[in-house]
Amino acid sequence: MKTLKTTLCVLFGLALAPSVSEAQRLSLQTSTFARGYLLPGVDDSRLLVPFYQYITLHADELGTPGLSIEGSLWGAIQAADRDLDDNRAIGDVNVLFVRYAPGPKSKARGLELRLGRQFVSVGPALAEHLDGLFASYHLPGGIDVAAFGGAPTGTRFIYQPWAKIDGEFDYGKNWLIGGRLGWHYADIVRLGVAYRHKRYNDELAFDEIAWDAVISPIARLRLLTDGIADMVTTNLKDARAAVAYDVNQAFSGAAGYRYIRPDLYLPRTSIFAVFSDAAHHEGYMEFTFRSDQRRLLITAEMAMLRYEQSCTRGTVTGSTCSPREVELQALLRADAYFGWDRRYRVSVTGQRVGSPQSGMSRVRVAVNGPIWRELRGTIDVDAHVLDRAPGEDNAALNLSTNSRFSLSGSGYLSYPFAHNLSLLAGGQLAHTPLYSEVASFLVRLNWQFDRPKSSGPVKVEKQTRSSLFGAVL
Amino acid sequence: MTHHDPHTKQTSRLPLLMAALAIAACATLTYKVPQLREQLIFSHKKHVGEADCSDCHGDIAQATGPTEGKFIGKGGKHGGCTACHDDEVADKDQCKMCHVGKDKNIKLSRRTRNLNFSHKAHDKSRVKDGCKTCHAAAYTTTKPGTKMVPKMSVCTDSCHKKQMAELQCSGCHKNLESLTVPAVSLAVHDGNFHRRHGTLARNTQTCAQCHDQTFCADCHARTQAMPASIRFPEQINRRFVHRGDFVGRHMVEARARPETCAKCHGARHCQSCHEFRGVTPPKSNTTVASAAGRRVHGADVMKPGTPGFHGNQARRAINRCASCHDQGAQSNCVRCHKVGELGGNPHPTGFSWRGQSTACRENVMCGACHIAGAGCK
Repeated sequence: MKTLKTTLCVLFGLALAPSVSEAQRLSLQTSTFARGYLLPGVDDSRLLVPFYQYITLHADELGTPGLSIEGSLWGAIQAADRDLDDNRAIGDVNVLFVRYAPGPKSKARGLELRLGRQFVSVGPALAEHLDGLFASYHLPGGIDVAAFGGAPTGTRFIYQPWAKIDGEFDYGKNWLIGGRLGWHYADIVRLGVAYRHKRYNDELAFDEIAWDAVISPIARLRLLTDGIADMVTTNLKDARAAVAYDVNQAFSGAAGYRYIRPDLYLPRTSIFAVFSDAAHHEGYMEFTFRSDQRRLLITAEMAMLRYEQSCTRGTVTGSTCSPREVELQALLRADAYFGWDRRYRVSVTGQRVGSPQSGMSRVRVAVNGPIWRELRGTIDVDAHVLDRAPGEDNAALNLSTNSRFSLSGSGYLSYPFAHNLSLLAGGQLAHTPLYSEVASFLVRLNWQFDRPKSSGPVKVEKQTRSSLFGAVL
Repeated sequence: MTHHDPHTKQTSRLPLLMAALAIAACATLTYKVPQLREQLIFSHKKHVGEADCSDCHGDIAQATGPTEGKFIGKGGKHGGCTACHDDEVADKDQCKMCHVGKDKNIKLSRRTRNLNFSHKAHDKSRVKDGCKTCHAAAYTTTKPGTKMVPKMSVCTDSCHKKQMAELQCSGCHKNLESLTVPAVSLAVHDGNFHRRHGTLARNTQTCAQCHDQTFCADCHARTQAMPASIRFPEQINRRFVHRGDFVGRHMVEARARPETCAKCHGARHCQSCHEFRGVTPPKSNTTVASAAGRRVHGADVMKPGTPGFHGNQARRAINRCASCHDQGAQSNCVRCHKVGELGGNPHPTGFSWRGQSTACRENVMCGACHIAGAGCK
């Protein structure tokens, strides 16, 4: 385990183990992966064969009604050329927390408490990953109150490695707090204001307020606005206004405007936080068509991005400005389901991404369905063409194949040996403009344990993972 | 093996591979599933007038789970048919009264519904018109295979309006992943859901009805070992960000939406990969840093007035600079971008911070240039 926080999380989990064994409902899922791929480097290609183990746990009714535990952990070990992340064995705790949410017959109904490593999505804190406490309460009259606090996680993906103290995170110097006050009236109005304060190494990183509102004045029409304001620079960081309308059950559409300041997504502790203030404006439209019984779904999205001008004055360079530019982005996607039980699926996507100095056009076709009895197959072909090859204007860039074209194809077979055991195997081949993976294979073994067995009487089952046996939907 | 070999070999095999994939895709698409109405003659309309539902569907009124396709069940292959049609069942010449074609092994639907539903709880004492309330089609259809499961609006426009208004999905739906619910826009997972799911998640109660946090962790965990697109390759309809050759297009997507990458990835993530693949030199090797910088950024990186000038790039998407150069006060940007140096004052016009004067003196980052508060207002 890489960090003190992860170790503490595991100890926290071990302390809860006796309670888990007493749970009235227990769901345990494991996924074992063997993967192999070539990683082309500057001097040589390396073969990597890591093994991964994922474990997901959900236990309900731990003695006290409404008390439950959720957990998700992974570990990996490298079996070939190169170590993973400078270690031969790595692992982490994604989620591990105790949740208390008493039922509707309890006096404390409407209360939810979570303690441990978890995600929090409240106002400007989108999918904030933290070790700490979350509490929410539904008051009469449609008022919702939520608050959270704790230490932000972050190891491999942390923005600033120098925020560490002697190789470990310091709980006392990396912390965040926040909350949201909301009100809703049936499905007509939902309003909320929220706050987030985050510190890295005891320096202010984020100090933000946010709002969100959805108003549905008439059936099928929704007006939406949300946004985040940075309180350090007193500027808007991200703001959006949109309107959505469902013509009928088959057609719906939406249009909106979004304002983005990319530099304000940097923590205020970053040296780059004082360099730039260019904003982007985005106007977008989207349309969705759903056939009867939703056997065919078609989505069309279009967005126009306008990059604002920004200028600075250098001692030697004088005043220099980034030019205003407009780029278009578009996506057309169709998902079709065939067979009386929708056992065959086809997904086709066409995409255009325009960006300053370059762009990309992409097509993807994917098919999934049974081949023989319970044996299912998946074929996924993905191709894109870059407007400019990565090394087109720079002969010194010797990392490119000088090709603008990328094509990758993958094929997988999956078979459920038993009601709780399934195997998936396959691989991918690719021709890419950059030195990315050119060949890979993957073997996955899923196992699921439920207590009591799921064939019993009606009961609510949450989705603890993204469909362990995704082929059997 | 050199780094050129794999590309050469794979390229020569690609046409064959793609042809095989295309043939397999076509074969899968053209496979035809026999329709029930092509195999069987049956009129629900005729039977509801002459028999009670329970004559064919047994003790459905006592069932506590969803029972689609649970036809009769008793009495062998022909189940409850024999109660009225025992003579026809016994007489081989009478088969075509019900069966079309030669295939007699008709498989009725055994689809598993991801629903929490109890027929017992919806018996005639609670539902005004009994079975007809939900299964109206059974009283009019004359052909088998007609969908008998009611639309969700049958439930939500009558008895379950409140649950619909408050998005209490989990009372009926075990999960929503395989479904879209057209009338509940906030819970729809199709269309552009991936883009807006973050906004919807601000009210996590909605998501939490059906999804555990372990589900969120598939994509959002800070130390995910593998992208979700690799872990779940069979889930072709989910909008995973890193599908296919993402590395080959990541620079375009990063330019288009500079704020997106920074939501998950930090400097170490970019740096470790770029160093290994020779895009950037190791931070310890400063002697080759300048040459390597030009190699990855282009020859015009230090030429003002050109499209490739780093100042233009930085003003538009400072996050991209930060993904590799964010070493705090040790960042190489600071050497030039300070008053009196080549880059001059790095602050944009109108730059201001709350408590600017104090921050300028106390903030560690500010102190990289404003040593001991020098130049602070």
